[in-house]
Amino acid sequence: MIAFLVVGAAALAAAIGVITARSAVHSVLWLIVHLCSLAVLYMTLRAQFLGLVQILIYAGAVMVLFLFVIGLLSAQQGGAPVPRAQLPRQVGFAIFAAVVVAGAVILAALFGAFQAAAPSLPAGFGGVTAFGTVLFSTYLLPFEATAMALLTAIVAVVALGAGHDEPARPAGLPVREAEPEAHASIDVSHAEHRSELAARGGQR
Amino acid sequence: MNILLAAALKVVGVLVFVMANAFMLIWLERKVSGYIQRRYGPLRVGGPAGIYQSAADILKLLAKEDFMPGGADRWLWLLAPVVSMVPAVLVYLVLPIGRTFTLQDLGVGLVFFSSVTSFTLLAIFMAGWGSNNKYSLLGAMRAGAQLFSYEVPLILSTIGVVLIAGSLRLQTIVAAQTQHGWFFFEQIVGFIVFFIASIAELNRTPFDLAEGESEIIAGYHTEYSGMRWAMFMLAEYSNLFTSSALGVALFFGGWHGPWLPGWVWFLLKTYIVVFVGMWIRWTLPRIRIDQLLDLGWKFLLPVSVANILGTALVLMVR
Repeated sequence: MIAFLVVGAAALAAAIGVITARSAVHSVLWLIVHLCSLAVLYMTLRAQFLGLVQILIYAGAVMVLFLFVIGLLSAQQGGAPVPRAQLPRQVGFAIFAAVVVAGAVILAALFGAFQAAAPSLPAGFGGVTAFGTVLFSTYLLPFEATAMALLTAIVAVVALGAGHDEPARPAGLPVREAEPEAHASIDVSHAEHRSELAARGGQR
Repeated sequence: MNILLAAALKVVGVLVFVMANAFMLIWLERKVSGYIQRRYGPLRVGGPAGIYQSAADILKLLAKEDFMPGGADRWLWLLAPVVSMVPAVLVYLVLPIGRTFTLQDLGVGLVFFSSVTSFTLLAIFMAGWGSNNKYSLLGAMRAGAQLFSYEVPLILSTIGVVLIAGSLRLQTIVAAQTQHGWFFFEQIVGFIVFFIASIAELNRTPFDLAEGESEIIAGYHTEYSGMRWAMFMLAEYSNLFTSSALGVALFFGGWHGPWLPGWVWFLLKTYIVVFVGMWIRWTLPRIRIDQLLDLGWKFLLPVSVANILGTALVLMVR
């Protein structure tokens, strides 16, 4: 209980840090603190595996991609401050969203969603074996559907990203005087790429 | 209160070991580099076997000015070395040091190891960004691309072992090898991928692009000095030890061995793997960033996935 209160407070504080931080990098770092606190909360609920996967995937991988993109895109450290005029509207939206969520939680509590579950948990609850067994039997269909959705997203990103600009020389490599043969091969690959793009465009 | 006392003892023990380990490994690294590359300095330095050099290093680092660059992102810059120590210390929790000796034998030990070590990249990014220096940021971005690319094959390469042992608990994996024989022989593909990927995760030559001194000074720790720099080094050598120890636990039977007690075998094997890592470091030149990413995504990743499929098929047929 004490652990829950402490970690819950940390999660809340970090969440406030995310929205009040002026620089995008600070926001992401606060978000990492928040996600790690959530992971600890999962662990206090005996969901060991879920907590670790939360750290591995969200704090370790997704957030690092966020940082990577911010590092590549925004050169200035201050970050763009929000124009004052927009603030009241945004605060209004935020309050509206908070009220909706709080209302949903209170309604759920009124209808008894938070009554204590079975007092004794099955042995090995939250471990890999129990987790995997449930995931690949009861919840196999949602699991596969999620996989399909993610795959679609990846293919879509590649298709969108490849269509926009000419394939360029990798940034950062010095432009060397290439041999004539090398030129020819590069040209061929460009042409191939273009025809490929055209073919794909036709399919679309 | 007893739980707290035991936890405190464990933390102190791990910290003492981290210090002693770094002290010894830096000495070993100097000697290995000296013998491999015929460097005069490390072979002629004073004291028994040149041990005074390490003492002088520590004194220098303690006495050196701790200088923060102007325009640095204060908190990020200050916290980055501390954050780099956190994963380095935490992973000792699950190492199967002896037959009955693990600080905390988690059922998901391997996942714990992977998820905790992913924080190293965070520390590097905080240092690179917080320093407000273009070389630091370049180093951090390189480290980002590199660690992110090699984390995937690193995790996938261990899954073959997990499939055979049927557990993510490191003690169970080691115990399975006492019956079954070391997994190194069956999982040789997995081990090769694991070894390459773990050297890359450690940012050591030939994968030390994040601190390539001929290009970007020292990468993410360009602006650090004194004890803050030393914390990065402590973490690096501790990570070298722990990732070798993980390799030993997964592929070389951990504490398994005749005559000697388990923990001696464990340390012996681990330091042999560490030595091979140093051997590679002082033999091979640094590779380019495009070669690095090609190796990770186009070779190691397909090979490790094929290894999982092959292992699963063999286990199914058996």
